[in-house]
Amino acid sequence: MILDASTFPEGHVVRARVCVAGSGPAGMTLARALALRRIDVLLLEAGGPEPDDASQQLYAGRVEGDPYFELDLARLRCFGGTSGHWAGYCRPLDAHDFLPRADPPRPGWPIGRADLDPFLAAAAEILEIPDRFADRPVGSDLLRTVFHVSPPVRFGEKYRAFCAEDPHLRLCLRSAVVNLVPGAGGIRALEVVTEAGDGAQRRWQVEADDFVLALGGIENSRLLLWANATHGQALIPPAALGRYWMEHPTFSVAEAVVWRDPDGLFVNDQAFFALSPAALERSGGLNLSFDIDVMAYPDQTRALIADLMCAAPALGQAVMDAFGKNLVCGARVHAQCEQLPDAANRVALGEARDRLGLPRVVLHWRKSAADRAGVTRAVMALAEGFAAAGIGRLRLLDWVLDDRRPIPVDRVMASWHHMGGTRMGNSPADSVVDAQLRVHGLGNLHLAGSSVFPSGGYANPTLTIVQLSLRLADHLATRLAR
Amino acid sequence: MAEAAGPTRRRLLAGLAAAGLVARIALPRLFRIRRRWVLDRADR
Ligand SMILES: Cc1cc2nc3c(=O)[nH]c(=O)nc-3n(C[C@H](O)[C@H](O)[C@H](O)COP(=O)(O)OP(=O)(O)OC[C@H]3O[C@@H](n4cnc5c(N)ncnc54)[C@H](O)[C@@H]3O)c2cc1C
Repeated sequence: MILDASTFPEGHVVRARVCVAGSGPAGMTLARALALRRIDVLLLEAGGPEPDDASQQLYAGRVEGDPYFELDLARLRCFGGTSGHWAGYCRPLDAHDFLPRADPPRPGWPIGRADLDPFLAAAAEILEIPDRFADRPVGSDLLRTVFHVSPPVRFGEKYRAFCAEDPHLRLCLRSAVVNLVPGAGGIRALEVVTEAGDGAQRRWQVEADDFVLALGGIENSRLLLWANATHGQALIPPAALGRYWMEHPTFSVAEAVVWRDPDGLFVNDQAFFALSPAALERSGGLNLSFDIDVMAYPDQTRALIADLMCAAPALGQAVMDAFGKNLVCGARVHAQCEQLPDAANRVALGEARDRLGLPRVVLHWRKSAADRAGVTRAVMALAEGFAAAGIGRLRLLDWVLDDRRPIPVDRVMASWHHMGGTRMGNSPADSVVDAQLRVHGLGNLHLAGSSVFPSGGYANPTLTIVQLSLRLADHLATRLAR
Repeated sequence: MAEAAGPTRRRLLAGLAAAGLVARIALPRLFRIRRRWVLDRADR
């Protein structure tokens, strides 16, 4: 059922068993899973049914550090959230992404891959992808890795009818959570502002047994930082709040000549490679994925092979002969990389306020020297694995070979993946939520979405986000049944 | 060191010849080219 919150009187209070804020993949998956269990759920969405400029404006913020996307373009503030923009690439995190590492230093998750695997099939059904990810070993050190591509599912389109018709779910659009109202041992209510078409603002509240914030990988931190600023630093554990924010930096790392395999692999297909867990550990590098992008023009490939001839004459000649028979192609190699959690990378509140009264976001984001070293180590190991497996040879870009060289700006960006800020862990001294995604010290406030990731691997996050929300639905349903 | 440089230099020159580049390419550039390629031991 869709409620028109613009008709609520000022100070109105709505009650629900569970209140979920945010209707992107995280919030929608959770709200629907609860409603399907006949649990009364109120879903709050800050934006309207479609993207609009006035709503996006509230996402504007500042980035300090490395070049990054404009914050009002990097996510969507409307029904269905950023799934209105996403490309649909899906892959679960690797089992070793959940484990702690000494070199490079990184904490583990308080849960493991085995805790999420039971939710893979249901998450894949939601995202309309196969649920098997059969990576193939290539040589001793490499894996040919699998991504599945969602159509892509737009959560707002896919579940609009469900939200309108399901008797257990109530949806309020244009209704933004602007603060938490603390109660004994937890949260008593959420403060909500609904903007009517004429710009008039209605302030009202939701009271519920359980609250879940699923506002996205920047807004979860922003709202909780604001709650701490207004209610005192003790409400949300402050040590890690907003911090350890991560992206998946992407880099052009090399050019390659690759021998075509019997499937015509490099000609028709996008091919992805990663290091095997053992080779990754040996390399001391960060987890990353190689993406092979075939060169469009034969001349580029010929020039690349001529260059290889200088370095390895016999090999180069053999490759040139194979090129003449159409058995070789040139490619550009890109990498999508894990980034180390760093307390200095953080979501913070700026001085400027938006029209709802919330401070604008200042995102501090840099790739550290340790990130760079972790990337180049893994790239070197991948390049060696490529040669050893007889797939082809890589010609590394200069910045990979010499860490004193700045990375050229056209060789590096990021992936629109917003992780960390409210990371999961066992202690409030270095995390915000526990293994069940409950905010430490608050009995009834949970968080959903990639803000809870303690580390991010290289896999695009949405499949993991959906798995986590399904797991959280199970947990909340069990709690409420008690 | 000088002895070690001999065969390397010969191999490099062979590479240059194969690529038809002898006249056009200088050795320092050749070293840079070699450094960029990640080769298998058997390639050289
Ligand atoms: C261009 C692009 C391409 C991408 N491609 C991929 C890809 O290929 N694969 C992949 O896995 N991921 C991809 N992503 C990332 C993916 O979109 C996100 O991981 C996913 O949308 C996160 O889901 P979420 O529900 O946590 O957050 P969001 O989708 O951002 O949803 C958050 C929701 O909360 C609402 N909200 C915010 N603040 C409030 C508030 N105060 N009160 C109430 N509601 C609020 C928002 O309006 C929004 O609806 C891409 C992103 C972009 C921008």
